Amino acid sequence: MSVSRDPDRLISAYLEDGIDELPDRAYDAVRSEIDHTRQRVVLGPWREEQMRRYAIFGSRRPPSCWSPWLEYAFAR
Amino acid sequence: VIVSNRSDPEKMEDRVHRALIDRAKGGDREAFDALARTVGDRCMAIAYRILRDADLAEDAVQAALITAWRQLRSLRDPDAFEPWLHRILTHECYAEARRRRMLTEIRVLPFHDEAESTDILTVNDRDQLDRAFRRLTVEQRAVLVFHHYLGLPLSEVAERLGIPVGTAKSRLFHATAALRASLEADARTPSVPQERLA
Repeated sequence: MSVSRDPDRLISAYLEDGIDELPDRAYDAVRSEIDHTRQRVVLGPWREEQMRRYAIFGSRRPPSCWSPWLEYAFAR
Repeated sequence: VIVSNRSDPEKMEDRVHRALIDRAKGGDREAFDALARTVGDRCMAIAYRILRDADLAEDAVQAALITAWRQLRSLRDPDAFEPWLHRILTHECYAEARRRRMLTEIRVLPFHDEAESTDILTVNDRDQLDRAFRRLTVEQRAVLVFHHYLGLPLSEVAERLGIPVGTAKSRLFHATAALRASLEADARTPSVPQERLA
């Protein structure tokens, strides 16, 4: 097989051809849309920190003074 | 001492690009408009190659840019803007393909002029590849375009598309095999003498 018939080269050449330009009307459409669109507010890293704290709190064993109450609650 | 291979104009361009991203993140619409104009053509090139339809590609790029504007504040690293945008764009291409039921639609193949062909690609090759390409899933096409057209290594393709490397490898393998098979089948087809057709 000659170099020019290498399938990978043919595939690359096939993908090379095509449209490479976004028409101006598309930029104008995007511009007019974002003029009426607000950016999403991103909550800061404090949120992750707070969630982690809750996770730690939730994973801890309950204090021993709670055990009579817990036994009573789950026995019902 | 780290010696950079990049030229000063390139560095300057990067700085301008980064400044635009920072301003756009702060809600500056003019900056985002300017930013969109620096990345729009490349996005169109990618979307067109995945969808093989100019109208669908244009819609996908528009949707991707609008989504990028809405979610820009969630982008932590401004240097990762382009890969981040490409991931959004790919998902918009998937959505566009599904929305228009492109994968099941029977389309008339575009006519290619002989003069349009590159040196190594004949009109027949192009038609064979066109048919085979349209039979691929849109996910396989995306991997092919990012790997062959953008020249990205598979690990980066996987990162940009948000898929495991193994999945990217498998999609590339099956897509390439299908395209190769179409070319080989065409090469094996015996040519019919003209007299018989007459």
